[in-house]
Amino acid sequence: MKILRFEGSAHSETERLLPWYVNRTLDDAEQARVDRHLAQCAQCQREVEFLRGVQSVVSEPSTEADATASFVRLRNRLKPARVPSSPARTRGAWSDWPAWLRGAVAASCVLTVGLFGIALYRGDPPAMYRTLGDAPAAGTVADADLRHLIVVFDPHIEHARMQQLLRASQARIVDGPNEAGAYVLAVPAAREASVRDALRAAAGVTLVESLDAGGQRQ
Amino acid sequence: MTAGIGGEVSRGDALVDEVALMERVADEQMDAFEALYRLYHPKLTRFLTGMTHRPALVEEILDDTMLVVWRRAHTFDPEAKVSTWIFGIAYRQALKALRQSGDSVAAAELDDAPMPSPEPAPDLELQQRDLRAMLDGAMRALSAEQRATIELTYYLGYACREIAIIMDCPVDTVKTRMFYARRRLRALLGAGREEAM
Repeated sequence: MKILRFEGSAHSETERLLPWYVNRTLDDAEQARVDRHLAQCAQCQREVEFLRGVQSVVSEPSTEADATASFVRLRNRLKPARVPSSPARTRGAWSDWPAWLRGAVAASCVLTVGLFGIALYRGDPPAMYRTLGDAPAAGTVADADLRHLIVVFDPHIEHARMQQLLRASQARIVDGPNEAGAYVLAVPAAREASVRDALRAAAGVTLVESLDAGGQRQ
Repeated sequence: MTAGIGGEVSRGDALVDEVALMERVADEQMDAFEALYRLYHPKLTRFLTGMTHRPALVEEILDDTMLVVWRRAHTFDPEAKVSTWIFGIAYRQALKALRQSGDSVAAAELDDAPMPSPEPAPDLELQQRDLRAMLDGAMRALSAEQRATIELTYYLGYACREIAIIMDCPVDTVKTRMFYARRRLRALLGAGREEAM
């Protein structure tokens, strides 16, 4: 859909405000502008009448159904599904995740710990390639001020929205996406918990987990 | 039940402080959640029915919405308006459900032709009963996003900027959706009137 820019003549600018003139939610300045224009524009007067007709139908109250049965049904789904904020709840929420998601996160964690362990045991030089499950790359792995989060965005999220979330989080993508659409983000250590919580609460984000082996998992 | 200022809603003679209710929901108090649920059940049912025109989906979307409210209550900003937060969740859940059902949620690309002239005004000559029947049919021809804009404006009484918050989009996008919705309704109601004559 092409977004229309409502600038130009006083008529066209005012005409776009009419739906909210009719429902009386314009601010005082807008209200005064529309009143002035309406006094001299028969076309907008007719449009207001049309919109009032729409409003009179749409605003009719609907029959209120008894919410008791539906609440009882929902209540039975509630507690196990709540986003965890304590270790006890973590287990409940984890068990409610889809199997593929549990598998993906578990694989990432196992790989992180595994690769880190092997590198320590063998004294290998830093790998020249990285996967989403890798510990942070050389140069950042020693940087104690950074933490890493694995994030899965909704497949329908718009690119601009994703960029907005990343900017707001002061996070940068250091890897991904993999086949499951997962990214690894680097965030300042001090902001790890707040960024994680904010992303979890944001629309368009499906999963957020701390990736660092020593990170706080909640 | 009417929306009020400062997150208060009147229900009968009682004033409900919705922000306080949300704080208790965030604290996992089930009685508070039930009160919030009962407060929003009728409005959500009506909004979702009007937006989706898919009665079979409404109950499921409403459940999913309130489930998110329960799970995310601790992330609610007390400076925000509870109703816009909840309807924003409901709107996203409805879009998600419609997409999963294979329904198109956005309007087809339309040309930039100007708004049809309101003259002759078909609504002025219609009785309320006829208008209701014809408008109900015409609303089905709109996109889910357009129907949501109309429901939020005229059933729930939101300002344009509040609808932009609920839909998580710029104010101009809301005005654009309403512009095309009005144009489509006018065309359909005009055609309906001619058929009836």
